[in-house]
Amino acid sequence: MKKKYLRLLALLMVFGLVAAACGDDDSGDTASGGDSSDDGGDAGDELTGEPIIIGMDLDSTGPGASYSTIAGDTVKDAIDELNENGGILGRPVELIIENDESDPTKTPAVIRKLLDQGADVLILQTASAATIQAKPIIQEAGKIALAPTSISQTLAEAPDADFTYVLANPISDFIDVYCGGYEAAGIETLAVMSDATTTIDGVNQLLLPGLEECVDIVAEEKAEVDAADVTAQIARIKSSDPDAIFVSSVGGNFEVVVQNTLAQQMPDTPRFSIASIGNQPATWELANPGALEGLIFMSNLDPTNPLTEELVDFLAERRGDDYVITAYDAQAYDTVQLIKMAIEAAGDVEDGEAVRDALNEISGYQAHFGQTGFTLSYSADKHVGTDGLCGLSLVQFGADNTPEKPWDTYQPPC
Amino acid sequence: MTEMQLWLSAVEIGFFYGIIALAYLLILEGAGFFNFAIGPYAMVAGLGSSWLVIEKDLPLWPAVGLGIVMVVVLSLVTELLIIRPIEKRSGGGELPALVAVAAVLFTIEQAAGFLFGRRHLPGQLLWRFDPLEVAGGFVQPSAALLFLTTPVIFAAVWLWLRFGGTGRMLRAVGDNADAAGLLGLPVSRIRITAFAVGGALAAIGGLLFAPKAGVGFESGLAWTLAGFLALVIGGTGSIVAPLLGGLLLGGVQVFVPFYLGSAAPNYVILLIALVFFAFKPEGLFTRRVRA
Repeated sequence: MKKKYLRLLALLMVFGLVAAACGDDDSGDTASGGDSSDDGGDAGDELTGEPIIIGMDLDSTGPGASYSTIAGDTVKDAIDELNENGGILGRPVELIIENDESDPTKTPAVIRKLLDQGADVLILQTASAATIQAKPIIQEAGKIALAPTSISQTLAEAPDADFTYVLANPISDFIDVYCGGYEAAGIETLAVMSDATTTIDGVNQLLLPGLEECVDIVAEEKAEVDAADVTAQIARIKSSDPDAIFVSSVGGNFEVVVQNTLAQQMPDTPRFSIASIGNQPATWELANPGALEGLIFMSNLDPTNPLTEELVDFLAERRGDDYVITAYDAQAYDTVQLIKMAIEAAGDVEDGEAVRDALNEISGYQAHFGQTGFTLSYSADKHVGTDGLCGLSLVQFGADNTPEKPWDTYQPPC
Repeated sequence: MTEMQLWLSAVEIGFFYGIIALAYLLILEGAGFFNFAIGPYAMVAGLGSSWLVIEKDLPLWPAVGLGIVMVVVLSLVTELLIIRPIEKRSGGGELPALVAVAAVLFTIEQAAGFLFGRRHLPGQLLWRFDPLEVAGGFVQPSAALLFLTTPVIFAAVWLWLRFGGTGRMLRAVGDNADAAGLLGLPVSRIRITAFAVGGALAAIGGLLFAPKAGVGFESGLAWTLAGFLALVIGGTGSIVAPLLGGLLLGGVQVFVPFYLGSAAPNYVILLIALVFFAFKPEGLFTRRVRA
């Protein structure tokens, strides 16, 4: 019997390895083959010349998939739009995709593969921790790489950041906004509930020390991203009696489980979240009825921004009127537009340094996210595009588990 | 309040693991085989029924019924088209069939992702009411149903194995298939029954637990491992053994992070697994055999 169980244990360990292998093969092949042929094929039919190849590291599986797939779909639509309107420099644009599954250890190989396949420009739509592992390879390759949804300023800071750029407001801006909100609401003690992904570990390393400047963090709890129950962690948080709770996660099912439990266990304690859940409409329906009510999250969208309205129309045209736009859509769309502007300004895509220099000259680009008039600008010393805090706002969920209104208590100065 | 909520969560998780482990045990009894596809069976029932309701607008109960039927068919296909032919070819060898069922596990997961989509879906609530307050803790409708159903399932299986004709034959086949065959027992039919009932139990477990945290195509592997561990801890000597193993595992998953911190459960579960594998591989309950 003992020998039998040991054999079974060994077999189960093999299962785990097989699972990992299955994930790799399935996701990588599907994304790369299917998408590249679709997008490139359409482009080649109507445009002439050598295609400009955009390589995207898209973690369509893994912890970051809940938000990356949203951005990835919009990148594809934006590239389709480019090809329908003459491509870039009259050349077709081809998209090739690989998947690192949000795993930083896989990112270097994925980036290398994209470059070997001829990528002229890179889009890093993967976990922040993973994007950072790509830096040395991108630096060596001398091709620009933009991270549409990354909030980690580390990607855009030396070393090895001559060619890496981010669009979204970085964590340092998040700290300013959260601290402004906590001060306005009289919140002095905070409990933090996080998932155990490398992405959130990286985010927390930058975020929490900043928050500690304005609040006292009285509890820090963590659970696996696929946890089905967080009662114990929430019970520990409850015993610390915080003024408010901050949930730091990649969103998805984890955040829903946490918010369900918090709504039940600590219904009167204000809840804040990082941007993830507010930008994942598909996860809202997973929450218990009313479980998200009152939750305040960091949003990057202002529905009254005319450019956002334009993008809503664009996406509705392609995906149907009931499509709910997210900040990830807007950031992905802007990424493609910035790439187009940089290549056209450089007049050539083969010279990576020329494209980089052209991107560094972009100033006052009107973004499709943020408040009206919010702009992105780059320079040799500024690889984080946001011009101020106007790209952010604090938004509160309503009783129907959908974002309802800007948080009355505080909004970032614009 | 906090204490009661922890107990409620531990029992909820434990009951689910217990049902999954019971499904393992029935197939082990009837076919002498660890069917590692049990977790994906449960996932297919939960995910499939949700997909039918959400994406195909099917009414709840037909969707639930279809979910169970899908899983029973899957379980029978596993036995008739995979395990049985492989065991026959390998002269009754267990390892080739175990490797094949591992492949089945991942095939079902990927097929479910392809058919039902790769995003989590909310489990379907089979009973709707406001959460109940019990001694300061809250019981969600899905948990209440699990609390009520699990003892009924275990009692029904116990009665079936003890007094039902097929159930008693199932135990005999599990004890010694060759001897049962020589005695004229319908071994083939008994195996099929074991797979069908085991599959149905896994499906019911998946349907009952899916509303707690939603269900995705990758949920099956974790459920397979948890059910297997519950069976290892509880043992195979009694029908209540899987339930006890499940409750112990559920207790560890809830109370260890509460008292020792979030990182501790993985280490404690690994330690428990190693202790049982090394010192008590037969589990807590062993069958007593009259001399």
